[in-house]
Amino acid sequence: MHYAFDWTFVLHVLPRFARALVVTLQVFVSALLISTSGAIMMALWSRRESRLLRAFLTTFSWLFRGLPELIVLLFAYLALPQMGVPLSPFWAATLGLAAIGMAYEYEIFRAALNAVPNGQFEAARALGIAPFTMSRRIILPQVLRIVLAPYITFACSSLKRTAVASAVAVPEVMGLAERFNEAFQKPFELMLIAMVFYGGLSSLLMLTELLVERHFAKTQAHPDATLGKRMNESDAALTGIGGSA
Amino acid sequence: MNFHIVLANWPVLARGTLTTIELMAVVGTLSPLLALPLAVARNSQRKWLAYPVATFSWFTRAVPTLVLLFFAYYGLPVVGIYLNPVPSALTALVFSAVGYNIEFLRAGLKAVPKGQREAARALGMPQSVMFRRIILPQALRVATPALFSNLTLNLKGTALASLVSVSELTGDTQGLLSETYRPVEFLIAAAVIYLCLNSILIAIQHRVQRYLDPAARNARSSKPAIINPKACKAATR
Repeated sequence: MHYAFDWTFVLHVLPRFARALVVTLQVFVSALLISTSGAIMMALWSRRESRLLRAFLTTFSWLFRGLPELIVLLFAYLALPQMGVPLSPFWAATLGLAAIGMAYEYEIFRAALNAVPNGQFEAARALGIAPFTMSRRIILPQVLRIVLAPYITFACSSLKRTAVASAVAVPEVMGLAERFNEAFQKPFELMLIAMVFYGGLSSLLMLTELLVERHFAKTQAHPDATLGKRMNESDAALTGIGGSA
Repeated sequence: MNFHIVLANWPVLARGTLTTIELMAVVGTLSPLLALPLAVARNSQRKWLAYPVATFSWFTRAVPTLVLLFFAYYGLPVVGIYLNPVPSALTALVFSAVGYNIEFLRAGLKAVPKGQREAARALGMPQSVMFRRIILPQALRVATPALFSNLTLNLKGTALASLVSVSELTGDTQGLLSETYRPVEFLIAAAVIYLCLNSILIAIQHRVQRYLDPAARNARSSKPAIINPKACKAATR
């Protein structure tokens, strides 16, 4: 193991990674925004009586939680244009990742929604509150409290998943590292740079999760905390929140 | 859409599927086996033992699998470690799986009530027997769902090995794509195979969970579980 680590090379390419970091964050944030709004809508739909709608939601969630992210992204990048939906690499990656995220986040939000006591819905209805107002002012504030910790855990794995976008030619951190590697043959340095970037970003999210958990642990004495407990029970039924990829 | 072309190329897909299953089997057995001693170390009172494991677990959880794959494939040869594509991909996949498994097993071990440990010690049970017969079976029962959901994620992670020239299912599919230029058909075929593999994993998970839960395992036997000596023995094995 005699290898001279090339610091000058690292310093030379590091500024070029600023742009790639922005692309990574763009993919991450746009996919997260699309998936979260979609997942909230789907979770609210899941309480409707329609069997067709429920079958659709279950299939969607099963499909996108079961497929490898690479297959989904390749489908969005290679197959959709052939089917008449031309997408740029950025949007193919973002929409693919958003679909995957939506499936997992749907499960998180659905479990949280089921943890809100039925009495809350009934009381709101008894008071004659319109469905939209009920969702916005009664249900969602309670759901958000329960959902925060598992949501951040999942966001962390979503962040790591953006690395797969490099496979469909998106110039994000991993994509740029691969391109530089082809050009300069310095894999050791380049992969370490990528590790530092991803490690730093995920650590920020992990830290946020820790702080949120600590915050809720403090408020555990509050009677509302039983909500969190109920969530943990339904949480056990969830599969694959967080985890590698 | 023309699925005849998929059927015409089934041997290639079958070979790729087999490689995927092999990768999966190695990652699925090695990662929990490696994670178990590390989880015990992570729970240890000795800081010099617990902190390095915590750091290792943080690192493997913070870095994307793809980065680890590229590091093992391109980076390790630079420092003199030469591995073929399959072993290097396996190293990276096991690494990325082990971090989460440490956390799940640690949570499982912590979930075993203190009284169990105290009772075993009061009975004069040696540490090793206590761990094997009292602590581990209960910890595994708690950790199994999480371990299996991680395994499903690992299955999806094996697709990334195609990017470091391992010809597993996704790699072979990509090869067929560039030969035939029929992405719709072949990607759908690969998706169906992955979903089948996933369902098999979930079936195995149910089996394992049943095995680990004495109540569910003996639900069908006519005798009550407690006076079934075989069941009592198996429950503490």
